[in-house]
This record gives sequence, structure tokens and C-alpha cells, in this order.
Amino acid sequence: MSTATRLEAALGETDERRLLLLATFIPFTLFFIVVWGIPIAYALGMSLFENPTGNSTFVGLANYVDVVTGDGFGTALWNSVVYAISSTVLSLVVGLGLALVVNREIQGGDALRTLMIFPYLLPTLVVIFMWRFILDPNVGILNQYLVNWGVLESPVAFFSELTWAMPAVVVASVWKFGSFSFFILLARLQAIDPNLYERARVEGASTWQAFRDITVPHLRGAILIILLVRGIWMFNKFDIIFLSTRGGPLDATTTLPIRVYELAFNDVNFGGATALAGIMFFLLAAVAVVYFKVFEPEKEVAN
Amino acid sequence: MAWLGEGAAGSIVSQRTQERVRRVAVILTALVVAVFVTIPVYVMVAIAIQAPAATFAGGEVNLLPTAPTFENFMVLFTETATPRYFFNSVVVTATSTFLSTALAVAAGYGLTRFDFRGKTLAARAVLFAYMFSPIVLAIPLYVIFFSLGLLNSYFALSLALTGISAPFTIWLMWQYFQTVPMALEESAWVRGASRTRTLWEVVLPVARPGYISAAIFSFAVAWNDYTMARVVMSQDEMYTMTVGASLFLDRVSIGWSETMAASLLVSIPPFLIALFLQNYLLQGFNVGGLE
Amino acid sequence: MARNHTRRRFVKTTGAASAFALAGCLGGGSGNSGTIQYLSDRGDSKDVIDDIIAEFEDEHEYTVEVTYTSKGTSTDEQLQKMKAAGNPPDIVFDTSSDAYRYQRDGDAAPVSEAVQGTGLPDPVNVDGESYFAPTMVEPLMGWYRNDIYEENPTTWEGWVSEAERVSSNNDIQGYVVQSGQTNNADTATTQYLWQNDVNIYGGPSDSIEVTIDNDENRAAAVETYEWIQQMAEYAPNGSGWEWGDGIAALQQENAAALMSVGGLPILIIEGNRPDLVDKLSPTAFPVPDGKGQDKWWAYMEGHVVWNSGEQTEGARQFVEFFSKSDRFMDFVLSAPLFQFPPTKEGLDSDAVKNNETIQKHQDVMDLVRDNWDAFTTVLATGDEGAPNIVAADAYGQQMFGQSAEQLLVGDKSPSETVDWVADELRALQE
Repeated sequence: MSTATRLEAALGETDERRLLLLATFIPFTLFFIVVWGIPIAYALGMSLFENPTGNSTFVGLANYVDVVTGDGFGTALWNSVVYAISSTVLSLVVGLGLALVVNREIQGGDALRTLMIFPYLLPTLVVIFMWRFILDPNVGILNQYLVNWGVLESPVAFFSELTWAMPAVVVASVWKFGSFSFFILLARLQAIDPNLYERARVEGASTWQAFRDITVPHLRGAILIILLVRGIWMFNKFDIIFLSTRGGPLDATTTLPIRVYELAFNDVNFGGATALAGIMFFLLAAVAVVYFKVFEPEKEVAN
Repeated sequence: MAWLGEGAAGSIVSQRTQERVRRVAVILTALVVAVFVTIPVYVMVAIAIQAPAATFAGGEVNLLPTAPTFENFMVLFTETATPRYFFNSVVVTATSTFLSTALAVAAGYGLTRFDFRGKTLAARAVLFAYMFSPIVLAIPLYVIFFSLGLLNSYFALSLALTGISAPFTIWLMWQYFQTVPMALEESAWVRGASRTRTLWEVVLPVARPGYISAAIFSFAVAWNDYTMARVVMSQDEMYTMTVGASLFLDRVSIGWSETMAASLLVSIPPFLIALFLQNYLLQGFNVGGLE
Repeated sequence: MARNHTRRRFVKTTGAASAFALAGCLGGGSGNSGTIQYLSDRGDSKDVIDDIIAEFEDEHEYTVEVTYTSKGTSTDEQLQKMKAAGNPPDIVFDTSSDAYRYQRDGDAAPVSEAVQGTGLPDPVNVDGESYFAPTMVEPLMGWYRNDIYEENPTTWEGWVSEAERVSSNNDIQGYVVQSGQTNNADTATTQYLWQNDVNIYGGPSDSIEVTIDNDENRAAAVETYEWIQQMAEYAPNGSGWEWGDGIAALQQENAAALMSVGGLPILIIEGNRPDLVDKLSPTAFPVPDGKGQDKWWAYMEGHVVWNSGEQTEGARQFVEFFSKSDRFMDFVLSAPLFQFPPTKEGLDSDAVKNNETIQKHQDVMDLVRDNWDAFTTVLATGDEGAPNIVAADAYGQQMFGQSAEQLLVGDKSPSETVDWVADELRALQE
């Protein structure tokens, strides 16, 4: 059936229904195309050229090959994976732990909830200002107190030390994004029927067993979605790392997005930069597809 | 066997002790997190309200303001375009939050109530948008906006920001609407209400927690944005706070104290939102589809 | 039929609405004719710039639109974006090295009338045409605590022993050694090499040769890195430090001496630690015993006109106007002690003499005046000061700052570091 005939048939039905459908989808599709579709297509197009912003020459997949075999790709990929996994998992753990805590209705639960959402709403720039100021080797209070209390001999430049740079960046990221999982999980927790826990206690289950058999299945979907969505976002995160360490020291925190930036603006190699972005895209897409197939996070929980 | 007590764990440690340990652990965790979250905020406030000379006196950073002052804010207001930047941020964020939420409700509803082939795929596809690194998208976007003559307009920036938050908010509302039973709407139809009216008067109020969280998400995206603002705006009067603040970093007359003051200003709307809306959040994120 | 009516009406309205919307979008205007696009990172001088623009707009038929960026790569970013969209700026405020890079890429338009015959230096002169109109000079400068160091150690050997003494006796390190991909690290490291008479490059502009690893140069270069390594023992970990970090170390009394740029440290410390200002004295970079201060790094910043913008002629006029404007000195002195006039005569002008901040720091002016002839930009390092594109590119990527990082963080030996940097420099030439 051609699109036209199909449209005709569809339009034959309830007018109002279709009007609503169009009204809801036209703006959406338009947005999507202008803000995402065209730029992505454009960028992917650029990746097939050498010097796409100047005198461009078509080179096919050469940029992709160059990028993957070039130096820095392996390190950047590794750093990206480490960063994405550690910040996602840590913020999930923090969020889950806190959700479990707040779920038990302690005093100050409300205040805690307000507290938790605040970092998420702050611009990353401000978050970085705060953390850079705290961890600075010269004006940082963390170093100041550690040195004064004798824990350290001399200040540690957290964002500049090979061993500390990545952890420091992860801490700042968890600080900002921990609340995302907190709220999602807390909502799910509060939807669990408390009778289930009563019954479990009566039947003699320990806290751990109750957690394992009641709580976890209910949270499964939420946890899986959080892992995927946050994983993707942290993998692509640029500003937090760039603003705090610029990828240093010595590439210790250079993740793939940082590498994209370097290619685009330091080396002025837009073909390479867009190729790398394309590679990241396909990587993430592949992971997502597999993830959806294997885990089916939107499935209903069987009680 | 009787001596195993009331539960496997109960044999080693009585349930009451378990309870107490749990309670202590809970309170400790809450405290640790509260401190962890509050300290950076406290530092920001402490530095913002002290004169630079007081903050750095004696070579140490002083966190106990003995003589609070508005000096840093004054510097910001007189020597930078901070008020203007703030205003721009507010305009653009408010517009994009509204647009994104409206879009999310409309499209989310549409996704739930209308069936078409590949619906799940389409809904998941929106998440794929986030997989392309925004850094390289800045240039195509600049070219597009430039060709459409949209540079340096609130409209363009609001659109761009909506475009960024929309995929997730739409997906969020889609999940949420799935928990709103058709029965609700059907009973309204039975009583003769039009579909539109039902949507407006029956479904929306029930969906409020959902769209509040969509609003919060789009607010966070818009308020936080730096990349889009840099792409769309090139005139100083049109810069948002985040872009303006990044310019501070290089200026000789703007140091840590003024930076913290600017940060404090930028934190006020988020704080207000956190204060007033945190209630709704809970129900909102109870995304039924995740069940 | 009622249904068809509604459908038709709906389509009509949607069509009309979208047409309107699109029209509204397009109506936004694709740039006035007669608007000069000016890209600058001098947010500090916004008021003066606006005044000069106002004067210019009164006398000429153009309007000038300024886009401010933050220093460093941000200007490049903005340039790339605008270039890609086919909307390049007309004027860019940049360093002489960047101007030369633009000229080499074919993007620069000549501004000879604004430069030749005016007494201004002419660092980007290609085939008789000038492509860069300088507005200010920013020489590097060191600062040390005169209450901790008994006197200026001056020589490399002196600095080593003094820094060691200071670090072991006090709660404070004696020096700061910057490393990493930052301008601060790059300029300091390059200057150290210059101090030891290392000829990093040789040859005329069109065939620059990397000579840092030839014979005597290599030995001198290795010596330099050895000295840097030694000084790093009496310095905090300066990896990734930009100008502000070094200054913060001085301010927070973590270090007693710092090599920075001009009087920038004083300008900043004045606000936060006014009590420290009198305890700081300016100095030239340390120099090996027996050698002289004959090559002193000085940034030169000014205007470059892009030839692919829409208002090249207007841009040229503006650049010339700017340099001759009454407010020119105000522009230069909007960051006194850090930005200096581009000519020696400018140093003696009334504007400089009457500037309060400068009056308080005559020692800085003396240092600048005495060493004026040694000021060199990183660009003018080809034979006899010819423009050196390799040096410009190397600076663009902070190659020497990275070499210091290889030495101090990457644990390379001084000898390996020299080889590393020579390889990297040659790779730039490909």
C-alpha cells in the first residue's frame, strides 16, 4: 500500500481523533527534525569529508579509520567507559541508598528531599565552580583542613594529579546527578504495598530476604532504565570534565567527548571530530539495542 | 526448629536489635548525605557574602563570615551585565520549560492513546537522539539557525532548549500516561464530553505529578544550558547567565568572590523550585510504565 | 459532509499557521549591510570599546557589532562556527601569532595603512603588506616575596639554592613550576629555553627548521629541562596550572616566587590580599650565570581583518580608526601593568604617567623600559625575527607546556623530553 492510500484510509476515521494526533505529533516531529535530525545528518555528512568547513574533499570512511587507529582513541574510550560506569553506578547506589533511607519516614525527610534535588537543578558551571574552589590546591578548603589537621603534608591538586583527577571528576558528577536516581527510586519504593513487607515479616523473612524478594523486583525496571539513560548521558558528558580538568592531567580524564572537542577545535579537524561522534553514536546505539532486547526494562513486574 | 527463632537472621541477632541497627544506619546515611550535599552550597554562600580581602586574609580561606557584605554583588551589577544575563536566562528557561512540558503532554498522550506500528520503537528512538555528542552538533545548529535568520533571538534559543529536553520529557509522559487508566476517560466520553475536553479536564489534573516532573527536568536542562546559548547568541546583551559567567573567569576584576556571588544568584531559582515543587516530584516519578 | 469540512479547515489552518511561522523565522534578517562583525575577548575593556565604536559610528556609515568570547580556545570556537556558517567575522582581536596563522591560511586582509608609517611594530609583514595592527604588548614577568627572599637571586644557580633554602626553612615553597597544556606553562618553559640561548628554530619564514636537538642547542635544551626539574622540587605540583593558579599559589602563600605575565599577579592580589602587595617585587626570568636577558617573551595583541567577511573595507577603516582614537590609551590601560602600549614612546606618554596603578609600581615600568629591546613575540623566531609559523602553531597547542608535563608528570628524562618535543614540532610541520 502506498503512503498516500494508507494516509487516506487513516484519515477516513474519526476526524477529531486524527486532528489530535496531528496536533500532538506535527510540532514534535518538526522539533525533532530541526534540532536533532538535520544536525545529526549534517554532522554525519561532515564526517565523510576532510576539512569540511573549509576546502572540503570527500574521503569516505578515511576519517573513521584515522580516528580509531589514531593515538588517544584507546585511552579516551577506556576513560569514557570508566567514567560512565563509575558515575552511573555510584549515583545509582547513592540514590538507592538514600531512597531506602528516606522511605522509612524519618524526621527531616522533606528537607532531605529538597536538599537532594537542588544540585541537579544547578548549572554544571556552578557545580564546577564550587568543586574547583573546594578542591583547589591553593584556595581549596579541603586541602586547607587536611593540611592543618596533619593528614596531608602538602596540598593535593585533586584535579591535576594522575590518580585523583578521575575520582574527583566522578565525585563532582555524582554530587550533581545522584538525585536523579534518588527521585525515581523513591517514587517506586513508595508505590510498593507495605502489606507485602508485613506478610514477609510474619513469615519470618529477614531484612535482606525482604529486600531481595520484594523490593528489588519492584525496582528492577526503574534501575535498568536509570542505568541505561544515565549511562548514555554520562558517556556523552562533556562539560563537567572539560570545565574541571580539560581532559588532563596528561589525558587521564580525556574521555571521548573531550577528544571530540580537541579534534574539532585544537586540531581543527572537523572531519575527524564528527567521525568520532559518529563512532560514539553507533557504539551507544548498539549497546542500547542489545540492552533493550536483553533486559526489556519496560516490562511489567509479575507480583 | 524452635531455637531458630522467628526468622533465619533472628537466630543470630534479635529482630529488635536489627531494627535498632537499621535505624542508626538510616540516620547516619541521611546525615552523611546531608552534609555532603550541603557543604559545597555553604561554601558558595560563605564566600559570596564576604569581601575578598576578608575571605583570603592571612593566606587561608575563611569560611565564617564575620562581616557579611553585598560588595561582590555590587561588583557584578556594576561591572558586568549580570542583571541582563539573569533576565535572559529566566526568559529563555521559562519559555522552554513551558514548551517542553506542553509538548511532552501532547506527544506523550498521543503515544499512549494511539496505536501505530512501531510505536515502542518510535518512543525508544527518541532516546537515541541523546547518543550524538552535542559538541559537534553545535556547528550544524549554528549553520541552520544562521540560515533561518534566527540568531540572537529568544525564540530560537527557547526552541533549541525545548528540542533538547523534549525527547526525555515526552518519553517520561508516555510512561506516565500509561498509568492513567482508560476507564477514566471512557467514563467522561460516556457522559458526552469531547475528546479534547476530556483531555483537558479529566486527564491533565490526574497527570499533574507527571508533567511537574517533566517541567522540572526541562527547567534543569534549560537553566543549565551553555552549548546552545553559545551557538545561538553572539551579542553580549543576549547572553544567558551561564555564558556570561564563563566570561567572568578570564576577567581580571572578577575573582572567586564575585564568581561565588554569581553562582549564588544562579542558584536562587533552582532553590525556589526545589522548595516548592519537591512534593510533586515523588508522584511524578512514579512512572507507571516502569512497573 | 461535516467531517470533510472540518478536515479541510484543519488542513488550511495548519498550513497557514506554519507558513506564518516560517515567514516569521525567515524575517529575522540575515545581517544588515554595513555591519562590521568584531570578535574580541577583552570583556574587561567593554566600556572603552563601546566608546570607540560610538565615535566611529558617528563619523562613518557603518555599525559595529561586538561578540565577546572568553580567552583562549573560545575565540577559535566562535571563529570556526562562524566560518562554517559562511558568516565569518570582519575583525578579530588576537595575538600576532594567530594573525600570522590566519594570513597563512589565506583568511587575512592587509591593513597596511593602519600600521606602516605610524611607528607601530609590524610583526606580520608578508610580501610588503602588513596583516596585523598591534594595540598592546604584554611581556612576561616574575614576582617574588621580598620579605622571604633576601634579594633577587637572578641566576639559575642562585634561584636553585635560594628556592631550596626557602622551601626547607619555611612553610612555603620557593618557586612555581607550571606544566601541562596551558599558556602559562608554555610561555614559561619556552622562556626558560630562551634564557639558556637555545635556538629552537632556524631558517627563513618559508622553510623553518627545527633545530632544538642540534648539537649545542640540544645540550643547552637538556640543561634547561634539568634546571626545570630541579626547581620543581621546590615548587608545588603545578600540573595544569593557568595564570590564575600560579597567582593563587602566590596569594595563598603556597609559593614565594612565580613567573607570570606582567603585573597580573599584583592586579589580582590587590583585591584579595592587599597586605601582600608591598611584599612582592618584580623580576626578569632567571637566567644562567653569564647570560643576558636578550630574548624576553612579550605577547603582542591587536586586530586582524578577515577577508571573507562582508565588510572588509569598513573593517580596515575601523582598525585604523581604533589605533588613532583618543581612547586608545584607555583601552590599553584598562588592565594597567598587564597591558602596555605597543611603542616605546607610548611608555612615556601622559596617559601612562598619570595612571594611578602604574604610579604605585614604578619598578614594573622600569623593568619594562630597560628591557624593551629584548621583547620578542613567539612568532618572530625565524631568522632575524622573521615570522615562524611552526612556533605559532606550537604555541597554539601549548607544545612546550606539554613538554614540561612529559618531564614532570610523565617521568621522561630531560634528554627524552628534548627528543619528544623535537618530534612533536616536526610533526607540526607536516
